[in-house]
Amino acid sequence: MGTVSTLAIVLFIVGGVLVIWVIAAYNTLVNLRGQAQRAWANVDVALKQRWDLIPNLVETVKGYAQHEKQVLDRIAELRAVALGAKDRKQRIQAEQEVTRLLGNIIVWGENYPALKANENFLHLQRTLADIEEQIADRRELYNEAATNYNVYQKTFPAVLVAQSVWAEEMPLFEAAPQEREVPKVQF
Amino acid sequence: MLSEAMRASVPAVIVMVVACAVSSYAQRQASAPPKWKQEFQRARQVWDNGESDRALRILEKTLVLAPDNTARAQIAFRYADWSHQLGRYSTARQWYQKCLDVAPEGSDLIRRATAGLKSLPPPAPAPALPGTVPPVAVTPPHWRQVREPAPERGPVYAAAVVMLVMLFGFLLVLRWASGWRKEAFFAQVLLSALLAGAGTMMLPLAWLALVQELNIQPDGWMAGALTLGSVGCLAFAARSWQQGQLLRSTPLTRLRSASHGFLKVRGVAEPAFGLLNSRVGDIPALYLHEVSERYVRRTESYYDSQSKRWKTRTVYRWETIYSFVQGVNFIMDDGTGKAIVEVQGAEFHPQHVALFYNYTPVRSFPWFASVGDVRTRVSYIPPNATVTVWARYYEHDLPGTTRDEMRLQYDRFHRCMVVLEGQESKVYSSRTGTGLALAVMGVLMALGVLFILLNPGIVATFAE
Repeated sequence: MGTVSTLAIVLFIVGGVLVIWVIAAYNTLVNLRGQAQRAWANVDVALKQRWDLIPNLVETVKGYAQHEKQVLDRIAELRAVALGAKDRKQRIQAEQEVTRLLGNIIVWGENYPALKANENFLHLQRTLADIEEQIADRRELYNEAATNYNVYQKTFPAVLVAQSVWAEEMPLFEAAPQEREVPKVQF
Repeated sequence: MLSEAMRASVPAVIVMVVACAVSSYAQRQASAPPKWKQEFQRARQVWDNGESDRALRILEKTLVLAPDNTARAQIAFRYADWSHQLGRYSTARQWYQKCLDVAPEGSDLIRRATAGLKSLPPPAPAPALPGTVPPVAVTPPHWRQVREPAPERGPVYAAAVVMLVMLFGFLLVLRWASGWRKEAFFAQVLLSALLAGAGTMMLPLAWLALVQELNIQPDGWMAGALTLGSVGCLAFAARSWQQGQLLRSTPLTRLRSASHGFLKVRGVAEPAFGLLNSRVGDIPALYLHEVSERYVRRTESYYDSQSKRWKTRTVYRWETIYSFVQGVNFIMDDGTGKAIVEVQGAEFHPQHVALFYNYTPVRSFPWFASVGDVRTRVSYIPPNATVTVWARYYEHDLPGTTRDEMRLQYDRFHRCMVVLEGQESKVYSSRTGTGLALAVMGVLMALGVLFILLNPGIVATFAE
C-alpha cells in the first residue's frame, strides 16, 4: 500500500507538470499571437492612411505625367489586390510593390518641373513621406512580434499545440526582389 | 588561471563522485541479502528483544516483499509459531494453514506446520442458541488463490481504457477546434496522447483519495518533494542552458543598423541620468553592489545531546550590516549611434572591485580579524567603462522632432537582459555552470525517487 501511494504521488506530480507545461505553452502562444496581430493592426492603420492619400496623388500627377500611365494603372490594380487580399502574405507583397511605385512617383517631381511647382503635389509628397516613415517603424515592430511568434511555435511542446490548433506562420515584411537588385550606375 | 582550471574541473569531480557513489551502492546491493530476508532477520531480533507485537507487524510487512511461495511459507510458519507461543491459538491456526497452503510439496515446513497445527488445543465450538438453525459451513477462500491471483483485468487494464477514452476525447476536441484540418491530424494525435498520458498518470492518486482515506506515509512525502525538486531543477537547468545558447548565438550589432528585437551591442557607457556613489569610498558608478560586514562576538544557546541540557557557547562571525545593489540608466555609445539603456530587470556583471578594511582601501582582506572590524566589498561599473549589453532594442519618435530615440531594455520574450563589463566568457561560463549544477541536482533527486520506490519503508526506517 505504501509503495502504491508513493508511486501514485510521483505519477500525479509528473502528470500535473506535463499538463501545466502544455497549458503554459498554449497561453504563451495566444499571448504572442495577440501581440503580432496588434502589431499588424497598427501597420494596417498606416497602410489605410496611405491608400486614402493615393487617389489624390494620382489625380494630381495624372495631368503632368502622361507618359507614366502604366505606373498609375498598376497602382490602381494593386489597390484592388491589396484590399481584396485573402491572406496576409499576398497583402504584404502588394503593399511592398506600392511602396516601390510611390517612391518612383515622388521622384517624378525632378523630371517634371511643372509638377514640382504644384503646391498640392508638394503637400502630398510631404504627407506621404511622413506616412512611409510611420509604416517603416510599425513594420519593424510587426517583424519583431511575428518573429517571436514564429520561433516560439517551432519549439516543443508549443509546436504540438500550434500545429493542432492554428498552424499559421506570420509572414514578414522583406525586401522585394526588385529592391534586392544592385543599381546600375553609368557615368 | 588556477581558479579557472579548478572551476573547469568541478563538473568532472561531481560526475566522478556520483559515479563512485552509484557504483559502491550497486556493489553493496549486489552483495547484500534480499530485502525480505533482511526484514525477516530484523523481526527475529525484535522478537528476541521481547517486542512480540512489533515483531509480528514486521513479519506481516515482510510477507509483501516475499518473492516466492517458499519464502511466504517460511514467514507464515514463523508468524504461526510466535502466535502459538503467545497463546493466540486461533491466529496461530490460521497462519499454520496459510503455511500449509503455500509450502512446496514434500518440504520440511509442511511437516513442521502440520505438527504445530496438531499441537494446538481444539477450537471451542460456538454455543448453539436453542431453536436456531445451525450455520452452514462456508469454505474460506483458498489462501494460495488469494495470494497469487489468476490473470484478470486489473488496474493496468482500467488505466489503459481510461487513457484511450481520454485520447479520443482530446482528439475530438482538437479536431473540432482546428476546423477538422487534415494536415493537423498527426500533431493532434501526439498532443492528445501527451495529455491523455498525463491525465492517466494523475488518476491513481485521485482514485486512492476517493476510494479510501489517503494516508500518505513519509515515503510518499519525501518522494513527492524530491519529484517536485527534480522537475524544478531540470526546468531551471534547461532555461539556463537556453539562455546561454541565446547569449552565445546573438551576433554583435551596430546601433546605426540595429532593428527592433533582441541584440548584442558593445560600447562606452556614458552617464546621463546621474551616478551612484558608494557609501564607503564614495566611488562613482553606474552600477553598484556594496556589502559591509562587521566581525562580532555572539553568545549562542545550543542543546547538548550527550548531557541532554541546554548550554551556551561564544562564537565569532561576520555579520552583514549594510547591503546595497542598484544600477542607473545610462547612454551607450558604440561609435555609430547612441541608445538609452533602461537597466530595470537587468543582470549585471561588473569587473571592478574595491575592498575596504575598517573604511581604508586594501588589496585583500587580512586573514585575522578583531571584534568590531568592518570589511566592505564594492563591485561596480564605473562611468565611461566599455560594456556589452544583451537586450531588446526599440526606437520611437521623439515628440515634436523628426528624430527617433533608440532604447535598449529588458526583453520580456526571452526574459533576459545582461550588462557585462569585461570578458563575455564570464556570462557563458556562469550560465553553463549553473545549468550543469542544476541538471546534476535534478538527476540526483530523480534517482532518490527511484531509490524510495524500490525500497519501500526506507524513509520511515531511516527516521526511526
